[in-house]
Amino acid sequence: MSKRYFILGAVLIIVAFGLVLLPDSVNKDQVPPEKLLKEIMSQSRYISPDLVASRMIDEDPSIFLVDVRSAEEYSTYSLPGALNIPLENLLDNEWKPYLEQTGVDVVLISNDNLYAEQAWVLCTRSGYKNIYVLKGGLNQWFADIMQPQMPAPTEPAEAFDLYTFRKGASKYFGGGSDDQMVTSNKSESLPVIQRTKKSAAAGGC
Amino acid sequence: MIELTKTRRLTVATIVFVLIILVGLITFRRPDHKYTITSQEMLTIVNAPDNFIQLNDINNSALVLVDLRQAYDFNKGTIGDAINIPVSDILDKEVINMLIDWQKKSKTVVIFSDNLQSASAPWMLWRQMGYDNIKLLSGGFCKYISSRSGNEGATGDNMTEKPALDYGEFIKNASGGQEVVTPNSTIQISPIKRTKKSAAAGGC
Repeated sequence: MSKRYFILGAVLIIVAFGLVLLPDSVNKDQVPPEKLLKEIMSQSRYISPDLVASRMIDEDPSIFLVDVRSAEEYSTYSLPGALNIPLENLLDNEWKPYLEQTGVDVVLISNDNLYAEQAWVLCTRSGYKNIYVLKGGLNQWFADIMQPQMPAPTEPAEAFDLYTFRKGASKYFGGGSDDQMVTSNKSESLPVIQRTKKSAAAGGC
Repeated sequence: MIELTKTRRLTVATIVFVLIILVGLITFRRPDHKYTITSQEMLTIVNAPDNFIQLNDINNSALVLVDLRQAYDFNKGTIGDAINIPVSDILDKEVINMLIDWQKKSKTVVIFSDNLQSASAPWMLWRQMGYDNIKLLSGGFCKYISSRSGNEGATGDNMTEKPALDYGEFIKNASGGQEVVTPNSTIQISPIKRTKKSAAAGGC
């Protein structure tokens, strides 16, 4: 009788150990490929230079810029307040606390989209939330914000509003568009335009 | 008699136990797709220079071209005899079978989309799942079209991530010859030190 109990007990313990081995613990903290694909297909990770500029001018504390270019390029120029995390060091433990934020929108910046996008994929796989990619990167930033193009006279009023905003932003970020100074003196006070759609990228539930 | 009931109780308990374990095993969902390399390994791959195929080299029969654009765009024209796999389908069963097949035949799969950026995320996803014979077409479809129409030589450096202008120089000129203010790393946010990620983190 006691022998039977013994065998049964042994079997149960072995089975219990088998259950412990079952789950794949390697990928526990990670976003599975299916979910990552969904994130990839959603375009919500892109944040436009205009929105970033507007939030920076408003001194929005919930936006945090991360420059993923090399330290050399970073030292030449970067956006004000940006933290340099070269792409090859992205996953170092040193940077993890900066990237894994809850209430802050982290915007990844590179010259174009590519490095920022790759950094985004790796961050998203690690399960970090609120990671964004500056659409078009610094090239687009300079094309849109620093050297805004005057819209054609036939374009809608919104285009001119945007143009005015960009000119102000250009001055704010040190671009100082020359023709602006000739045509109007009003630019002395920064035209900070309160935009209605500011909270588009706020995330949340 | 007492001995008999004891034994029967024991048997019933055993059967129930085994049944529960069996049900658990059967309903245990094995993930369809898995990463085979870690994020750190992927980061090393990303920084390696040999991830790209130049436009000049695509007329090679050992290559398989895969067009990641939508079927609508694909039908309007593509590169050579490329196969269309829209991004939404890249984890489909048939697609994965094709990838495994190509990997067995050690064919190099060259994927492209409109530009390099939009192909890079699907590329990374596949690479992280272990399909290491996949490369990116440098430049993408738009560059291919412009090189075809002679606007830009296919021999040129099609890499993105090149600064369009010298930013530091631009700012210097724009601010009237002043010294460029190099970014001071004043970090606006405080890093969140987390010892352990709690299981219930995030979510609504």
